[in-house]
Amino acid sequence: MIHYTLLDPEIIWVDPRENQLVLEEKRIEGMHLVLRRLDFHSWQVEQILSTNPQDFLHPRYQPGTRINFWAGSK
Amino acid sequence: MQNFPGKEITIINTCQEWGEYPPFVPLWEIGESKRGTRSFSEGASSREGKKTESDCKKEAKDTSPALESIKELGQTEVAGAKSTIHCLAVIGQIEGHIIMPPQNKTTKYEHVIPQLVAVEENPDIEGMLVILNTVGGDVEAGLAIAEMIASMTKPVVSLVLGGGHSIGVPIAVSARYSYIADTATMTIHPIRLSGLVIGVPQTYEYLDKMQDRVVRFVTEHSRIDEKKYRELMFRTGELARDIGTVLVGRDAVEAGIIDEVGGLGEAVAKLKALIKKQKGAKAH
Repeated sequence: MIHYTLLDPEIIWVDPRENQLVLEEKRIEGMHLVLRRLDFHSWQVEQILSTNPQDFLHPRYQPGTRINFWAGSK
Repeated sequence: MQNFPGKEITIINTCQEWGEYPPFVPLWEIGESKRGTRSFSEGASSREGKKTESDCKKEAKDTSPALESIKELGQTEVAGAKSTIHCLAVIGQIEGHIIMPPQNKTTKYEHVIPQLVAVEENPDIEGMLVILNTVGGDVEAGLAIAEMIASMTKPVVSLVLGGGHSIGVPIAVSARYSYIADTATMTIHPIRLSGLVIGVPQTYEYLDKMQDRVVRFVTEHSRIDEKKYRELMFRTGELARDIGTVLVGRDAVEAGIIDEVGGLGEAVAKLKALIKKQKGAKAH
């Protein structure tokens, strides 16, 4: 693999153990989102993955929105 | 529409086990399921009498999702306007075979390629705008994205904003027409090799071949010729710790890499003109 970039490799390839940031991808209501895990049941919208510009206007999934997931009881 | 960073929404997982997710069923859809309009109504109704969590009480509301959105979040729904122009934002590093550490902002191959296929295949989409602000990245992934864009039958216009460096250059030129913002920059420099290098002539030959792939793609898809491109690439004295050239806005157009200096307005107008031209050609 050849990496063709302006940035120095030491900036890009840091020790993975130094990073505690947890990002997860989930699909909710047809929206493909990158979420940052805050705690066991809540995430924060980090990024929207879409080519449709209208998806970025969706009021529920604006970056920064906190999403709480609750497991339904049996 | 207003955006409140830090606002909260709640989603209830109707799957019986945590291990089963996704799908998650958003809270606002459960109101509809009570009326039996949704296929997952069974799962939702089985929980009706057993609400233990205080947050689950909200689900009993028999209101429309739009009304619920106003009540819960204090905002109205955006009218679902359909866009005939889709937008691909290429930001940060272009990620290929290795997952980059999370402090890097990346554009991932596995996201972009299926999106390009979807844009090409979807009859509702007429054209695509590629917006670049990238510092480069994986050669293979970058060239793959560039080749995909170049082979699309739908009109594609690219716009370099901020920067389109290194492997961003082939992606910028892969569009049918390219724009660069007046202040945006493009850095043309040679490929570098890091890690273990075997000091034999074959190493250089291999590197030269990799270099040729980028040079060939750029020269085939823009007005610049190979001699000029290599000259820019190997120029000394411009970059402090490296060799190469920084092209700012108009310089990139004069060098023949980019077609025109412009912004979003010009890019969208050009894309619409190309769409109209293509439709006209099809009608004849």
